[in-house]
Amino acid sequence: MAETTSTTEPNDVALRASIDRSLRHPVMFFFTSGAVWLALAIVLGLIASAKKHFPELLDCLSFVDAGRVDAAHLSALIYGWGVQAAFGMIIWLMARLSRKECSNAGTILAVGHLWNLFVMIGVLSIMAGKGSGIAYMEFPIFIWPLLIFCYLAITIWSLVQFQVRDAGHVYVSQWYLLAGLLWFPWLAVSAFLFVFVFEGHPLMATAIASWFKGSLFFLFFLPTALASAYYLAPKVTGRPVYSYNLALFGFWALACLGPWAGMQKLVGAPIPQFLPYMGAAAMVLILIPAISVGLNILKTVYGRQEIVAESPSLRFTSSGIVLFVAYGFLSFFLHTVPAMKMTQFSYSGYGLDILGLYGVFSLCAFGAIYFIVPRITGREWLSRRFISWHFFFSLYGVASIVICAVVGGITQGQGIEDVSQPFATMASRASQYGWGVTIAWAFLLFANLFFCLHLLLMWARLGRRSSHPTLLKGHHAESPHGPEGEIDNIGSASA
Amino acid sequence: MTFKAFIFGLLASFGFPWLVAVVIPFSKMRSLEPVRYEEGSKLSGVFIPKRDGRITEGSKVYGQEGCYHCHTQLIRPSYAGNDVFRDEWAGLRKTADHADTRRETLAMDFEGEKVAHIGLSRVGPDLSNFGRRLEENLKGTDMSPEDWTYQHLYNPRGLKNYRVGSQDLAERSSCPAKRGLFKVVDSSGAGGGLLPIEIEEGKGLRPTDRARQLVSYLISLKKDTLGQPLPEVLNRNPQASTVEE
Amino acid sequence: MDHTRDNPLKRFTAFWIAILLVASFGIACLIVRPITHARVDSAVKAAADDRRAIRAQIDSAQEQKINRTSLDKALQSQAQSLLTSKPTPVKPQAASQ
Repeated sequence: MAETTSTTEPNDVALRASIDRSLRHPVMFFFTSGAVWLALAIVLGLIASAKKHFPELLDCLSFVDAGRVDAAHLSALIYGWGVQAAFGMIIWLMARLSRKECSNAGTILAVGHLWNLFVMIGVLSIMAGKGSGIAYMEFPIFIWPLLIFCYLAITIWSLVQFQVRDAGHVYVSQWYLLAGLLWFPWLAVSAFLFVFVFEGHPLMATAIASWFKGSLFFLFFLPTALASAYYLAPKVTGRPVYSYNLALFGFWALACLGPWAGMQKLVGAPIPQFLPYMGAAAMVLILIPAISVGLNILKTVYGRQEIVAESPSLRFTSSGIVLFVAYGFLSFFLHTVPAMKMTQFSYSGYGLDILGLYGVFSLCAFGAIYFIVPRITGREWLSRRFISWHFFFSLYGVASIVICAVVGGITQGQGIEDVSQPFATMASRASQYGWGVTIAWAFLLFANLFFCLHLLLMWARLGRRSSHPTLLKGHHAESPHGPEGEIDNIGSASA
Repeated sequence: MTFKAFIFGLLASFGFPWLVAVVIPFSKMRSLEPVRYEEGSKLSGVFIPKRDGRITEGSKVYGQEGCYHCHTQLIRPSYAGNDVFRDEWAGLRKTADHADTRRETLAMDFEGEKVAHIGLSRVGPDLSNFGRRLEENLKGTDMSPEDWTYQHLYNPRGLKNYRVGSQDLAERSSCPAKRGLFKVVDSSGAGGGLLPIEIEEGKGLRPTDRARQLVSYLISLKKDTLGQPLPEVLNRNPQASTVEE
Repeated sequence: MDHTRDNPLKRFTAFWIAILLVASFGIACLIVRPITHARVDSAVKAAADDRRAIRAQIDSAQEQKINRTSLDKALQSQAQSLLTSKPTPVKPQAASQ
């Protein structure tokens, strides 16, 4: 992915600046409202986790009843934070990579507000006990077509931009963006029709809703995160992507495996027996694209550790990619047949989900946000400390959640499989791990309150007026991001 | 890689699992062949597990309250887990009154529900045979299954001195209360219909419609072979009764 | 910038190609719907068919045993006699208790 033209040509700089200006409002809106939803989702996650080991918590408020709050937490995390962060990343990345200004910023911004409205109605409905009652698709039935319509109105322009791009190289990131943009509606419309509209067997409704949720991570969130990583790693380090062929292989491995994932939650259910096991096989084999992409990105930044340490964007992104490899290994071990006997109905699945949504996707999204926001607002981040705290508490929090949930889940599973052990004994032992998960959510809340505050300050245009980026280590005579006045690519400044 | 090749690859790599994992299984499951009792068995005709109660509405309330986050409704075959062997999850063990009634979950068990609440995790016990367990454990007491369930939903830890076997069930329940399913009314002038659950002085508890639907659904959860023996072709558990005894 | 790739016509066609691609699986779902929704053999319907079969058996067995013509004749003659006879008052019986 070599840059074929010099990136310091005045035309290029002007083009990049005009692209950034054209989509400033919608992208900032998505990032900011996403961050607020993230904080809310974490609060809901905290309550949901606490109720599992401390059931008396808030039992006077039926709005946050157990069960409802679990569904509200995941829905807010996925549709409030995840999809909106993805929108911001997709719109900016596709515009930059296709070198096209955004000419529909007004539409996107307006529909973005609608997206927020519908997600809010959905989450409030769930908390009021008026959701659909279907695991993983808990929004009321009328919300889904509205969300799909909003999705189209927001992202169709990026698909158009790709098709009218300047002739030349198509970047790896663009494959992932294009694929993710198409996969989401393919999944959502199919799932909506088969679960809510077409009449079928109740077990298939459950299976297809599980398929939707499982595949959504691999076919929308992960491609967006990887598109960002494939953009930032070469950009910030100034080196080309390590291997084109490995990138091709990793992409198609994900494309072939991803759509099978999801039904492993129904092992042993009276549905065609191959379905849950194909899901489990896909989860086991996801290690292959994980290692390919991990190798590719980490080899690209290898040898430039000082830049990884200094640049917030690269630090978050590299951590996200390392956690993707960890995700691959964890998924491998959790979905072998003997393991599934124990972990199918335990906290472990939740731990893996959070590793994916927070550890992989959200960390890469934070990396993208720390890169993109200064460019579209024309201001630099205010506080190195906020960024550091955000990073360390996030990493610590997500690692704790995953470890407590997975180990707790295995304890739970072992206890249930051992029929001589009374259920209550196993439940009380497993609930101790629940405390670990709840405390970890508190750390994540802390991390994200700082992130939210920092982002809101940038949104209010209170960032530093400087073209020297905010870096995480001490002061530098020369910035690794380029000489004064050019805050984009370090290639020109690389020693 | 040209754009056309890319799009074709994407359509194929998504389309194949879409067809094989979603469309075809959906179609097949929609038209499951009815299972009949064999020639020569005491029962004849089609095997349909009969359930008694407000299944469709109750199932919807169960889903809306999110009970599936902590409870499952799936007794897995032994190659997938030990559920069949856990006390009273899959049915009742053999006693003087009846044969072993344990069985794994069948596709017909979810008849009447829009979605099968298989469940996501087992923070609480499996509920496939909740109604059966309740019925057995409340034999000889003066509490009805409905009253126990209302009490459990309102205040899971409020069942004092309620023992089953050697376990004091109530104190150890980690089920969070679902107070939103109930209305607190003044007990004077309430006109009856109050639940036998003690709250404060002068106040009584009335279940909402959703509570009634949910309780009816929960009590109907009896997915074993008591009174409904399996046809031989569905019987994978050698212990379960296939004939009326 | 390559101007031949980006003009209003190209954008227009790109928009509709994008819509078509996005909607492809939605359309596919609607196309397969008649196939997936073809046959439903529900157990409940099969049980109902069983009951109807038994009912039909009973009805035909009863039909066979009944001699419709002689039954009709008997009913007719009884109906005739009722029609032609005059109603006579019944003497009230002396009160016994």
